[in-house]
Amino acid sequence: MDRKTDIVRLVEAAKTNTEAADELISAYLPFIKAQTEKFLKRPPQEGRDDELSIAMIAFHEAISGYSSLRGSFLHYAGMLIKSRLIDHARKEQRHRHALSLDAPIGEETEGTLLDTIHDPRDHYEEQQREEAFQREIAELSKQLRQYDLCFADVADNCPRQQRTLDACHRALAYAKTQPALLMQLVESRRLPIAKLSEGSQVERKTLERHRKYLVALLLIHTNGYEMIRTHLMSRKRGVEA
Amino acid sequence: MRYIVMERHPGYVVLLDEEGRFVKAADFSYTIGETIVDPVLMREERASTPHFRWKPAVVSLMAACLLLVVGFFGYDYYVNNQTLYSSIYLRINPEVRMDLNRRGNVIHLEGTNADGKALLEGYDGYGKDKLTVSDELIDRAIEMGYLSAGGQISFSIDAPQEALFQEYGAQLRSEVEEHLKGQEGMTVVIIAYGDSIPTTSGSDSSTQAPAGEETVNASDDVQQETRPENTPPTPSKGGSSQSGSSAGTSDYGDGSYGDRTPAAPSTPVTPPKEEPIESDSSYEEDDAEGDSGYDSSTENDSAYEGASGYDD
Repeated sequence: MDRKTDIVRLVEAAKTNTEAADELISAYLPFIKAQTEKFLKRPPQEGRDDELSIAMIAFHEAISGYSSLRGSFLHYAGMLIKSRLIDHARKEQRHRHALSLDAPIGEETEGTLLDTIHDPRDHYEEQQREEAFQREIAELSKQLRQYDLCFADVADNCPRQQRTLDACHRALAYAKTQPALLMQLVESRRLPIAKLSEGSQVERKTLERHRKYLVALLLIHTNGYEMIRTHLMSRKRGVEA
Repeated sequence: MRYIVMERHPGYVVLLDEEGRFVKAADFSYTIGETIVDPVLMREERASTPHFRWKPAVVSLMAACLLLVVGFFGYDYYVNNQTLYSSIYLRINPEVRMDLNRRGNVIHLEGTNADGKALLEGYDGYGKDKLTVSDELIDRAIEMGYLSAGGQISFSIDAPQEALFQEYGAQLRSEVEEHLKGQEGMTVVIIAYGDSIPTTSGSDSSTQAPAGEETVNASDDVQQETRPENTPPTPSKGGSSQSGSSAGTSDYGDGSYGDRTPAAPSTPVTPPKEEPIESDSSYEEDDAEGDSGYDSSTENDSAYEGASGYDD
């Protein structure tokens, strides 16, 4: 009985605390592997088997979706893992007829099919891009830490509904016209919700509810984050850049 | 849609899409800064707050329970309010039966003799308390000339429990007394249904205070008057020995009833028919014949069988 309540408490904590969630998943990795093995009929290999990654994110979903009404947490998580693995397998099956790019070209020629495709982008370029992103991301991550945030926290706080997302972007649009406001954000480490609300006509309540997300969004539009901004602009709809 | 890998955690990564959304996804050995096009996004599995689920089985069960509860209430209401629980026969000259529900409110009124019917004409006592109806009927009787000074009002109470009988009796007595204050010489008699209404005064010296009976003087004066229709009554009751008036024998103190009967002969005249009182209602009759009217004539449609000799 005690063990049960222990894990329930851990799960509850993990729901809102990124670190706690990480710890919990790490602690239960053997369990997750065991569940995957049951499904695969063989032990999964980290780094190789997609199934393990699926199982792990399923476990994470279980943390988020669990309530004591659903019975034992491990039972719930086990079911969720199995269900996701099945979904994934079905999805993969649809593509099974397609040739893998990793397949060898033929008996005589060396190399895989992948090599035969003309890659418009230089591999090097690709890598450069990635590294540039990494730098910006590292910087942004550091800035976020000053607000006691990490990207996972921001993700948890991100609006799910399109209209709320749009509202937040309206606030962003307003903020972009007010450099002083952005300055204030960086310097005081506080989000000027009142001003944002008034200037963008978005309800305070909405802005309050997505505080963390707004901090990240606004920070991205302060100096230094060109790559990320460009990435965001590639699909902007109806909101002035 | 393209996603940038922003952060890695055991079991998932955080991606940023082109619309500004930060989302969690499965980690297929990604590197930070990598661009992904076909992520396996984490599904929203909000812990449903313990809320009620409207499954058909549950709904049916709830509906059934609701019906049961409503049924019980309805039944209870019906039983208590609509079903006959006790009756009171108000008798002055006209005789009226008040059917009461469990609460003591009138659910039906019936004139059990011609005068009774006349008394009730145009009167609706449905739903009213027995005391109110009694007062109102008494007033009507006075107005219509059925009751005048020195008259007697008797309440014969047919209640399933002794306690209820006592309670109603006491209530009626005090109510009617109060109501008649100032009126001269009216008497109120309370008897149990099944006892005969006292007609003589002091025909019996035995003082029993049988369960069924109390008499009270509305005024101090004891007047003896003969009611018009009264005929020399049969000193029926009292005679405990004679009429088997049920356990309660009416014991008429002297002169308390002075009214109905003109000097009633003390000689216990026992009309032959007097006997089967317990079985039948024995209501003293003011019938023309000195017939105590205990026949068990069934022609009478009133509740008490054997009531006899009502001038219909």
